Amino acid sequence: MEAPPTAAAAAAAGDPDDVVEEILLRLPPDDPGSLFRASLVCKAWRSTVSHPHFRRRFIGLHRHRAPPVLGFLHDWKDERIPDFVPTTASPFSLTAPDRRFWRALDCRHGRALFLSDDSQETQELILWEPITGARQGIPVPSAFTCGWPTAAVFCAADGCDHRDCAGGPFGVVFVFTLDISPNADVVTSACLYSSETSTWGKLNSREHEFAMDFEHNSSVLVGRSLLYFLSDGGMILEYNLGSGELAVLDTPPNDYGSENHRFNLMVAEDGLLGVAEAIDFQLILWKREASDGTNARWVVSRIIDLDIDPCTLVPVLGFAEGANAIFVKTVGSLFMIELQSEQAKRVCHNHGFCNLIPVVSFYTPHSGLQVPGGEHQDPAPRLNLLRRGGQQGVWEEKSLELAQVLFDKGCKAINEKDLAHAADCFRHALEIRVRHYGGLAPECASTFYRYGGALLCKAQEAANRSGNVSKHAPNEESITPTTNKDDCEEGANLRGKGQTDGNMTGDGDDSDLDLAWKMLNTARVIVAKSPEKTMEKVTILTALAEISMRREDRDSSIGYYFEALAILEHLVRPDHFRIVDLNVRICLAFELASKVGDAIPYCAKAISLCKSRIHNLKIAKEALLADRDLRASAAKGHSGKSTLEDEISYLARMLPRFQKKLEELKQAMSTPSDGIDNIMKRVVSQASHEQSVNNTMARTASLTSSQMARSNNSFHSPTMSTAAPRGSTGSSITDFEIVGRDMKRAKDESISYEPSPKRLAADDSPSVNEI
Amino acid sequence: MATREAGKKMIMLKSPDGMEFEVEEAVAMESQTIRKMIEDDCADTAILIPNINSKILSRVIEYCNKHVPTTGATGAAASDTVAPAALAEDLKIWDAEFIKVNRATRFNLIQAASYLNIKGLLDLTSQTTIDTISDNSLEEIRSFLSTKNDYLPEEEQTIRRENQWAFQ
Repeated sequence: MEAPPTAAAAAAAGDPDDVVEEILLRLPPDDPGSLFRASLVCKAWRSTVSHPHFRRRFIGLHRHRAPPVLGFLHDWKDERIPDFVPTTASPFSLTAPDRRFWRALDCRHGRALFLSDDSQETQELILWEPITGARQGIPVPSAFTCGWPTAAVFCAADGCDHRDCAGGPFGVVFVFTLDISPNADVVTSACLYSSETSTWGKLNSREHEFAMDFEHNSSVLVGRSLLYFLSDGGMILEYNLGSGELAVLDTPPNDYGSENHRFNLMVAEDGLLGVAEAIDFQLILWKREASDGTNARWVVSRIIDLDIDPCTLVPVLGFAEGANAIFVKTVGSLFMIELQSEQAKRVCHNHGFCNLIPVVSFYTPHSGLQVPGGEHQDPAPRLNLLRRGGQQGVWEEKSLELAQVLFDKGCKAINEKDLAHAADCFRHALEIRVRHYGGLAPECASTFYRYGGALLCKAQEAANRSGNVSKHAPNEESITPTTNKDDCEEGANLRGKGQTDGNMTGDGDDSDLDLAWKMLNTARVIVAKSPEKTMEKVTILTALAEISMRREDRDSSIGYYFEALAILEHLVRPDHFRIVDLNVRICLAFELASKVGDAIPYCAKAISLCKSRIHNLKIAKEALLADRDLRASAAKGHSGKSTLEDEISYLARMLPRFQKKLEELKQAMSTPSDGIDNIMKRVVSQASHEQSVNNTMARTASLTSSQMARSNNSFHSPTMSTAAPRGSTGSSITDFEIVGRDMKRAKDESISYEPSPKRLAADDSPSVNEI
Repeated sequence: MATREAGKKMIMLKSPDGMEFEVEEAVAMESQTIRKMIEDDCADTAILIPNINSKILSRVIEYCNKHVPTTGATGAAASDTVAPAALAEDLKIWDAEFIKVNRATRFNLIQAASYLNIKGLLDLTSQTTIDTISDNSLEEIRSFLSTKNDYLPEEEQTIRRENQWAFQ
């Protein structure tokens, strides 16, 4: 009687994954952030939305609409503006190549093109796929030497609708000017690259009276074969993809007598070349009729009255090909105008002129983008970008010896607490080494790390100075007094949005900190390439954690600490002070993140490790005393003993503090009203107390740094502050080569007496045996 | 088993728990899946709708009854129907009432709409969930949808670190 259910029916009905897919497919394409967030809900959702099948269905479901404008690339100088600025209603982000190193040239058909900074010896193009995050380097044509070239990228697949063609074959047209023509005219040349042959084709050139630079505008593609570039001087260059011919077109007449004759290329409504020009309150759209040959002329196709406030000056900054929208800048804001509906949408503040390159695409999460641990960092900073004030571009062929000298100088400067000088030295050393070895070469890791470390110290110092906290606490007293812990809690309450405010007095703190993070992160990326577990990794991760902490990004901070601890546990004996230290740091980080429950076990762990260490040290001391007679060297024995005693007494002093902390945490756990108190405090403090934010911020920071730190040099380097308990100070130095002086001293001392803690720490496992 | 009643062709739909529903062919053909079966001539007997219990199936039929084009043009998905504004408004109100169901029922309706391929019903039933995803934090999405977060803490940390914008 019954029709047999089809196999498809049986498979389809009742599969919850299908239901999830059906729902998620219906998320609106112009809210890409919600699709991304959905991918973070759980792994099943992630695998659903990042599957190519989902992407195909998603794009198919929206086949009747144009792909959305996700945002744009730009060349604004302000470092606070992200490289990719979203235009979507809810938050969204794409990890675009760092614009300090890569100038965006073009974006089309799911690919964006960037050119490396011009102070490099050899410039390079990279292709970036916004959706997958994939990057691919492309050499520039060999004939290109210098200037402001431009390039356009396009999908080279036949009959493609360009809605989902990233990953397929593509072409690049590179356009540049050479002024070496025999008759002294300048020559503008274009060259076509094919991804299928990975080669540049023949150079097509055209002499011209003036040099053409292309800094401010990107190209438009008209039809399938005509690319148009607008030069900074306002000339339009046509490149025929089929024939390779170059032509120069006139621009629309300046009928409106605008003084600021700034316009942008676009594709007109009937698919012809167009120009959008904004004059005061009107947007004038031109199109070039009969684009074949010399008879073509510009006609006004439409005038749109702009209803955006106050727009006394509205230059057109960009055209979103494929989405038919343009970007205009007013005095106060940047607007995106849908040309079809004439609707204007405010995107962001006006940050000035820029070459604005819209990213138009359907977004679906890509599996690679959010896989934890996936390395999607920027390529190593190109070093020319590291020049921040002074010495611009004067570093040509510097020998590696010089790099070493600079490196040593930097170490020395750190010792002398001249952090700015140290940072300078490391920067220059880094510049040379990166130039020589390449940005992500293992040889550069230590320099990246040192430079980042120096910057971090500099930022810390600046923060401390502005926070009226003594730069580095005097010896014994500096070891975190209990009051500091109270400060820490207070600091937690006072944090919130306080970071920027708090740093107001210390100009450049943030930028130092940001740069420090970048350098250390690069170091991390380099060392992460080798699977070995090294102390260097631990140190770098700890420093990154510290920066994250300062940036109030406690979750990241905890993440780094975890990573560091996981590696460290393979490297040193279980009760090594660095492990104790990391446990305490994780505990504090959790506490600051208001996760008291999570903090407790780490505090407890630290206490038990501390106890075990004291026990071991006492045994070692006895052994040492027994050994002394045999050795018959009072000096050796004495110093060995005293350092052991120092460590014991240090630990003994720290232990009760940890225990007190544990009590506090437990109490906080059991009295939930505290939480409310804290929240109240936070609210109050955010409203006022800028100075105290400043103050406690700095103290909080110094707490983490110096909590366990003995004063002398612990403060001056992130690693030292991590590893800084008495006696093992030297360990961080010998292990991670941070400070020249200490390095030297540690070396000397390790020769002069055997069981000193420096030696102990420097060479850990054997020392366990000795003990 | 297909019968005729007042000149309209009837179709028998059968749920796995044994209930039978006699519906007009036009109504049944709101479902693209059933429409395909009818067009492929697999439907001269009762059609078993697997995995959709009678309670849900009756609600689906209720929806299809309401949304079947009055002109008699069959087969088009409900949302494609061009209805006068008043009728559309009326339908909207009706839909809003229709979807006032608990989460489990809504989930079952989505499943049914997905299997039976009824675009209008799928859009309608998915919308609440879509709004939840668009408007809420991850934790809220998980709790509203009873979805378990199976990312390891370390993974979650990394995700948060690398995508801070998504957690604002």
